[in-house]
Amino acid sequence: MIRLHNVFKFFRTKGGAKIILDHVSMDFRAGISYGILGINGAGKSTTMRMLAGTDLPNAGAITRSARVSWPLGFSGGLHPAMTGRENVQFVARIYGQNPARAIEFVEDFAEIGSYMDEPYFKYSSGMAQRLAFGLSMAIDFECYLIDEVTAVGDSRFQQRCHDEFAKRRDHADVIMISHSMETIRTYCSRAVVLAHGVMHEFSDVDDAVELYNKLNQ
Amino acid sequence: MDDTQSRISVANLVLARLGVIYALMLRDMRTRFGRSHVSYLIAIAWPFTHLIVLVSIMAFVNRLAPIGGDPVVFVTSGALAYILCLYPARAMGMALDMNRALFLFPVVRPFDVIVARAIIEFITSFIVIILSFLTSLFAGVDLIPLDEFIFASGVISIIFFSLSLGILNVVLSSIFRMWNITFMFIMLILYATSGIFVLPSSLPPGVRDMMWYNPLLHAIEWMRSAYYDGYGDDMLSKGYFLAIGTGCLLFGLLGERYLRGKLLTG
Repeated sequence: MIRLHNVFKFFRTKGGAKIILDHVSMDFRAGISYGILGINGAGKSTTMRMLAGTDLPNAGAITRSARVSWPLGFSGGLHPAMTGRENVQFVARIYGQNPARAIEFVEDFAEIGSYMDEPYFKYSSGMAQRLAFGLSMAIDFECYLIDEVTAVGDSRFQQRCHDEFAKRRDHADVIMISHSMETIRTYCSRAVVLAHGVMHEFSDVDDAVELYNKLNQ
Repeated sequence: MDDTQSRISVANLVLARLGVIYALMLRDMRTRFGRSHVSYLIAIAWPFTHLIVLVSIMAFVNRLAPIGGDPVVFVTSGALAYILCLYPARAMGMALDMNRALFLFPVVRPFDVIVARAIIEFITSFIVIILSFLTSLFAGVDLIPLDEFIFASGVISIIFFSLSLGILNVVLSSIFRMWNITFMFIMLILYATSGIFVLPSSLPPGVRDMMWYNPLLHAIEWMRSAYYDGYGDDMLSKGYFLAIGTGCLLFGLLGERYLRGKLLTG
């Protein structure tokens, strides 16, 4: 599904180079959902952006053989001056989907009513998140990348998100970052612990959590 | 994968890219200035107004064209070349800075944004030219060139030059924070030394030799040679002008290839 070939990624900081991935090769296989664990600053979000393709490695290559989503949990890509409707149309177009159908889905899912025709900057943060999340659900991805987006909206909306995900679990996988081990256990059957530029893959999520807890001490 | 299959998938890839570029164009036209459908009209009105102001002032100052005939024709042929050189290149340079938030969506690549904006700037340039001719028609000025082929090839070459310069601008503005201002400064110098106000042939040879290296001079000479018989015979080098444009394109594309990560994250 997503394959890393000898990927090297670092950032220059005042204290020297900070290595995120040190020549890592790994295969995220289709049909399996992965959790990514790591202490703060280990580079989880950067790794997620590289999996999505919105950030590039310094060396090595990442190949995708499935439709991979953008990292969910950020709503930054939507244009503040365009209305919700225009934003949805735009995203549907770039992903080659029918704009009218996408709008229908988002209207139904996000429940923001007449705000659909208001510029995006007028949205409350809850509305913005609901629109962004509905939008990502309106597009048929085979792999959803989720960056800490478990607490969107009220509990009723959370339940809907959960149900919607459950519906597409048989044809879509998830790669998620979360600090909530409960969430990781619910969604993922394998886990990766990111530490010191190395990805440790575990076939048992509990083993990964154990290592994560050790790193956290 | 057999041959037909791979051909289908290549066709799909091309269609997907075109879909992205089309969506970006619609978004760019809507959001360039403000947030309404008339926003794109401002993108046309801006260079057009600039052109009209330049022509009005210069035609008023130069009551007598240095080369004979209508002074408006002399001034417009020069100003049009300058406007067509400046605006597309500048708009291209700002393309990524204005749209960086878009790269949250991995399907959108920097190159798509560049191409989308280049197409819009190409269209805008033609609308500005058509508007100029319509205006001259109403103002009773005969702006029809002597040689249509030289005029058309000149316009196409100048737009090519400007878009190529624009692609280099995209790369440079991602490397250097102050690039867009530096670029305006460079364009001002080129403008002042381009022979737009005075005929280069009326200047001393030493100055003319220096001016020859200014690509904008060749753009203006090219346009004027479409209006005046034998104009530009001594100075105009179409080869030099196109070579500079091609050089910018080459370095711009090389920069795009090797600094893709930098273009993505800014």
